[in-house]
Amino acid sequence: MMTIKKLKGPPRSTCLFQRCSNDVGKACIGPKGSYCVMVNKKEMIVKNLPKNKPVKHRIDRKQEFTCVAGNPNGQCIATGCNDGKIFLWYNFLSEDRAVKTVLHWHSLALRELCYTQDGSYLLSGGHECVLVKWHPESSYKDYMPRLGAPLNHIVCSPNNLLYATCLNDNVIQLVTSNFDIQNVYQGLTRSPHVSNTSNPFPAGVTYDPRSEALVLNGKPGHIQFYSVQEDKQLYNLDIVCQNYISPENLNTPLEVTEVIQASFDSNGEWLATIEYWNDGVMTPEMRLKFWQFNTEKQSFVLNTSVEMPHEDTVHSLVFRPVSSTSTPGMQHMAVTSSSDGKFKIWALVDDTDIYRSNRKWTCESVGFYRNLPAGKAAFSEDGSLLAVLFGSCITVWNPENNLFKVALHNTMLQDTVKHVVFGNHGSSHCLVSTTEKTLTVWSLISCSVLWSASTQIVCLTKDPLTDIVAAFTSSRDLFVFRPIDPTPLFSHAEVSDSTILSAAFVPHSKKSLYEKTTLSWQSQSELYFLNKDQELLAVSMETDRKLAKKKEDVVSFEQNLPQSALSLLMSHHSNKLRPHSSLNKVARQPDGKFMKEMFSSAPHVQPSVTTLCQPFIQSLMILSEERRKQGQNDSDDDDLSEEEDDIRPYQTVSLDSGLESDMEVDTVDTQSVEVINNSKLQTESDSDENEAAVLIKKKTKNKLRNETTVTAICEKLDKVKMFEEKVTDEDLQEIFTQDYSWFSSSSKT
Amino acid sequence: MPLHVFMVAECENTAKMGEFRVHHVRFFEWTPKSIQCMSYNSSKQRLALSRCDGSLELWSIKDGWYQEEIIPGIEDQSIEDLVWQGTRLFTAGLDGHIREIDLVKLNTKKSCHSNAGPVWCLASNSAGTRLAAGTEDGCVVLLDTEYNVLEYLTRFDSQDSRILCISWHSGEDLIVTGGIDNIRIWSVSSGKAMQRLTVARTDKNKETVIWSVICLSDMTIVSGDSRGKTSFWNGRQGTLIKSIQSHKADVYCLAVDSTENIVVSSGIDSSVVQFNYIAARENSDWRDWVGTLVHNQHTHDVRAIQIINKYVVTGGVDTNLIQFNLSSIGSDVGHKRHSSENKWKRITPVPQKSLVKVAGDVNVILLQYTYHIEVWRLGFTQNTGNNGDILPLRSNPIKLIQLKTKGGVPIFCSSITQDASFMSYSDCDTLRFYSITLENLTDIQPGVSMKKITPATDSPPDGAHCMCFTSDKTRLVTVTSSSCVQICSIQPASISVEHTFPQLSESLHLLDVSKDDQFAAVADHDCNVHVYNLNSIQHVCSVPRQGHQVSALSFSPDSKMVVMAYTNQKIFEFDVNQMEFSDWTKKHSQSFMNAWLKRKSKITKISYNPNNHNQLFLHDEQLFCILDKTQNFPHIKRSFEELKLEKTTAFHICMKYKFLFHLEVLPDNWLVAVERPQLDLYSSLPEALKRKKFGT
Repeated sequence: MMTIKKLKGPPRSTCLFQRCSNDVGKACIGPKGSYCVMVNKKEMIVKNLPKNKPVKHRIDRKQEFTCVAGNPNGQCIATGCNDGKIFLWYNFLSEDRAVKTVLHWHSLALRELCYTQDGSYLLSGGHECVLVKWHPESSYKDYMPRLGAPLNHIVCSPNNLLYATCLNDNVIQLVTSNFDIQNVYQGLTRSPHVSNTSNPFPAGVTYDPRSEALVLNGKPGHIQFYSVQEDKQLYNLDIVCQNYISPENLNTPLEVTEVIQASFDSNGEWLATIEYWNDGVMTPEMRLKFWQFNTEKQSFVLNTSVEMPHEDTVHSLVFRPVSSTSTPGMQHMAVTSSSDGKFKIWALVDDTDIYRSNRKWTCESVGFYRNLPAGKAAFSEDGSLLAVLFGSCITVWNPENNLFKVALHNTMLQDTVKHVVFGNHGSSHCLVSTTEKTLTVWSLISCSVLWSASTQIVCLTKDPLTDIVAAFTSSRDLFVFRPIDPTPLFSHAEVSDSTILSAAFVPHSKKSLYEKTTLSWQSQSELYFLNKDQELLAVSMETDRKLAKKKEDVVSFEQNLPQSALSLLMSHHSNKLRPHSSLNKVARQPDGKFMKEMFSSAPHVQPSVTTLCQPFIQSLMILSEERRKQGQNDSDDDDLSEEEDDIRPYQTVSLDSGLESDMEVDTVDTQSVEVINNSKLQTESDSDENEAAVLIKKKTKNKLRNETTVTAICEKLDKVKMFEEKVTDEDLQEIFTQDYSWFSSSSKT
Repeated sequence: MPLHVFMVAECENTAKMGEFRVHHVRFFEWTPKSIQCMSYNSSKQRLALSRCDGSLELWSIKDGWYQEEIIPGIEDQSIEDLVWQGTRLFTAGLDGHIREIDLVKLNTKKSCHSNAGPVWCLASNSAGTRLAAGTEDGCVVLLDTEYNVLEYLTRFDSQDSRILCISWHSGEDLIVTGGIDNIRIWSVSSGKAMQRLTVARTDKNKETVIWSVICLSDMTIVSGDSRGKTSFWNGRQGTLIKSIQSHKADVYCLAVDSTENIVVSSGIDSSVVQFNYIAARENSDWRDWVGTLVHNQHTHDVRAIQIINKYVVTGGVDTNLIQFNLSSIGSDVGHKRHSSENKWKRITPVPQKSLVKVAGDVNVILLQYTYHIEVWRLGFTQNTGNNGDILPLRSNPIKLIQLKTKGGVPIFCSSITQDASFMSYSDCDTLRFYSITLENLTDIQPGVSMKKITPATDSPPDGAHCMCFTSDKTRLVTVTSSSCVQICSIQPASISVEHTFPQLSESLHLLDVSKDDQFAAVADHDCNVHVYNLNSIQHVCSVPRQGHQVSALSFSPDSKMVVMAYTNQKIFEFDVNQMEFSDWTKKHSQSFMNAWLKRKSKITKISYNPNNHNQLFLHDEQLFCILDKTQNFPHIKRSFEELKLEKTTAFHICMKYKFLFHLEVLPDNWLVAVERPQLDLYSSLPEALKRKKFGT
């Protein structure tokens, strides 16, 4: 029986070491508290605990201690060095009689040392991805190689039967004492990238419709399938089929073949990947692989491998989507675009011969435009249009015959277009594009700008089920909007601590969860995004009212609604960050400039004169009318509206034809007021009723490398589950009553 | 005939010191011999070292590894073990003899047969009165060495297999021997085995050979065996304390330091492993040992290991001696001084006395091997070229004479006159003298005839350790085997002793005769330099002692000066007439560069440039240097690299030749450089045990 004595008063604590590292592996207390030891760079300090007198030991220049472990028999201390040597120290309590022995197998710095409970074996691990078991008495050693990732921590179970190893890629393995793997606990695989410059997830995050999992870069050369519903990793798919080799020197990491693009077709049957290897010395290697899902094996099987599909970096790899609106029996098709100035359309063709029936992918056509490097590419929802970015131009092609349709070119902004996305459903005539500084929505019907906002978008993604588009700015703000409507559905500032790299919508069936909340746009699909700290984040409801501060953040945007909600909203954010910048403008093509544009752009990219003629004349007409109307509506704005460079909520140059458009513009204008009012009401009611504050839910992305031990990781996993608790009705009730009381009290005053 | 003959004439431009054409001689096929065993005499600070051909070397540790003497080996007399007793040195060999070496005459003084077959090992008791030899027949033979004798005393009970190693306990009368599969502890008084420690086998049918054993004063026995294990035994109880698999192959040798806290071992896998004593548990006398550090500097098997002061010295098949700092191998002491762990030093087997003599007038060189002498005519050319050019030869070098000694007697020294008309060599006892007639020397086939000149029967010259012809070819000055300076006069038909100076020193090792034949200078191991007048036959003067040995000396062309290179790398010039150091020496004796003084190899030859008396040519195995006496010395802290950038400096250093055996200036700005490239030098070595090396 264990008895716990009750201590009187607070427990006394004494500081053993100052200047101690925050790494648990760098300090150790001997058996029965006989001594304590700490390593710090070049010195090891041992204290005989009752006497508390420090003894210092040093190692050679060029060496540094990385970890320490004490033998349970108290005779010996093992220290690991950054050159891979393990020193065993005897007589360590006297400075001049100390004896040290070297064990040297590791070639790189050691991460962790651990003695077994009886002290007869020493376990060591480091960057070589090998667990080494030493028997220092007999100089015998045993290895467990190819663990897949560098080892961070090793612990031994109290009964000496199991060793737990914690790997750098967020895996805990339970290993028996004769090196059989008994159990593996795996979270979201952590990318080994540590440098600040490289992107840890070059392939970004995509959605696999078949397994309903998020797909992103996993182990080196792998992609991982991560089920967000169950919050666990399904599996890692080996794409490059190369063993991970640890580098010779940690300062010069080996260049591994990375999966830089991954894409699924609409029903998840086909997976296409592009892997790339470039060490800057040898000829770069690139491979485009098409994988087919094999229902028997329940796994993706390689179908086609294409060596060097492009001569330069590939920017996008997209399958042609199949939707209800698209032509039935459409050919399977994918597009790749690259900096070498070409985009290639790959099609699935029959490869049946007398021996077998087979299908394969071949390059069907190659497109290029003005010798410009190609950027991203996108298919329209029904797969009938293909948009490819070439410098500052957005070119639209017919993918069936690879015919050039139109080039969208904003002459005012010569910036390179970064992203392009077709609208879905109700916005299917819209095309969203971003440059370094702006977000522009084009109408594909008139081939002109619908609206535009000045903001720096780093990541753009659309919901496959609705017409919702989510955009992340460089200041880590999130905006959710419909392409036809410049008013954002939702916005949130500073959703992440570091740059957002990639985002994806994941369809779900928890529709009721989001209804009548500020997150109603997530009723079909949830938004997940990755940041540079290798965290996978989602936007979700929060039950805790203490975070109401954040709610105010959301609500306050609606206080003084201007003509264009999105533009002001965005400028509001950017002004908050950079008050000096005057980005508060919604781009509108002034009429004089429209003419300028018309004449400055190359004639071959322009639409026919007949199509140009009407909007041109019309624009002149509308201008005067609008002026009059605005003058009536708001006489204060006279000076503004008289100027040609004034700021208007909507793009006036546009729309279909003749008088109809005239009408439409009018209605839009009046509607906009209504919409604004509505949205005002809507948001007010939202804030009153729902009190939904927004929580940025952090999925299990670990930082176990530095600060946590194995046990801590388990705790963390538990915590994550707690986040998923749902908002109950009682909660809402409570929130409502509280806020109602506040409202009534304020109205009284 | 040598298979490959390199004789290249090259141009050498040594930093504005003038241009030289170089006879780049590479056909001196001297091969180094692997080291067999070592023994250190702490009172004399000398290390005795034997090589596989039975030759014995004496190294002075005090003078920074100066090779004092080489006693050439006699065929069929191998040396398996060496033991010092005070100043007496004993050897044991497979011919079954235990010999005492005469360190003055450099031959065997006394000899005694073991009466039990070949002797594998030899040990002395701490008092220095007895020797114990382990023999092939499996018995320990005791020898009496008291009162300067070497006599057979008794033998112990014989065991059934050979005894390969032996150790005498420092306090008690106990002897520990190692053989096949077992270690035995013998009582000296009874001659009976007291304990038998059985050593395990790794393979049932493969016997374990105990190659080396050491008995510590607390009766801990350390053994090294053919399994590659170093074992620690409790000798009192006969139990194994710890057995450490320290090596991948046989452990050949062990050594213990004076505090008996550190043991080092080495063997076939050429790594040197250090073991430290740790007081394992409190309140226990159980002695626990751990292997601590490993050094891998040798390329081949290590045969012998010694701990000398604070250094570990190892030698083996790769013929080099390697010295480590023991304190830096050990625990923290070294780190506090920030000494780097790799502080080690290699001592090459290249002899520190020249084996090459040059007859400068006729371009003939004499190469002295252990058992024969070769005389070569050098190639010549009339071309000139730029620095570094290889000049085409008009005629190739030709071997004129190959002279073998009779009955496998080794050669101690040799000499040839400047015009190659006389040649002489000496073995241990006798001096042999030849006159040579060379005809049509520049032809493709020169005519050679050689005639032996018999010594005069009434006064035959003694065997010599050094010899030197006078320039008028009428006299031969020698240092005899009994260390006297002797003048022999050369007659057409015979050679006779003219005068023998009384013995001033027991260890003369250098000799030079002045160009005007008036003076002779000799140097000994006690740091003395004596100058004799050959005409008046008297001792002229002695150079003031410097506390370091002289490693090379030479007279100036005007015969007024003697220049001496010391083992501490300093160079002094002594005026014979004034009997004092020259003005140049007085000015510069303290201003040698630190980089120069720190060099490890000793200067093996120093000479004046016959064309420019202000230039001194000196060389060791690594570099040659032209010292300009008219220039100022560089700053003390200058390094060799910085020296190259200076415009005027006294030191002009050329490191082009590696293992330079001889370098001599000839008239007309010709140089003879005898080089043995490193690859050639070690090409004769057997293959070493394959070692895995990470990253290769």
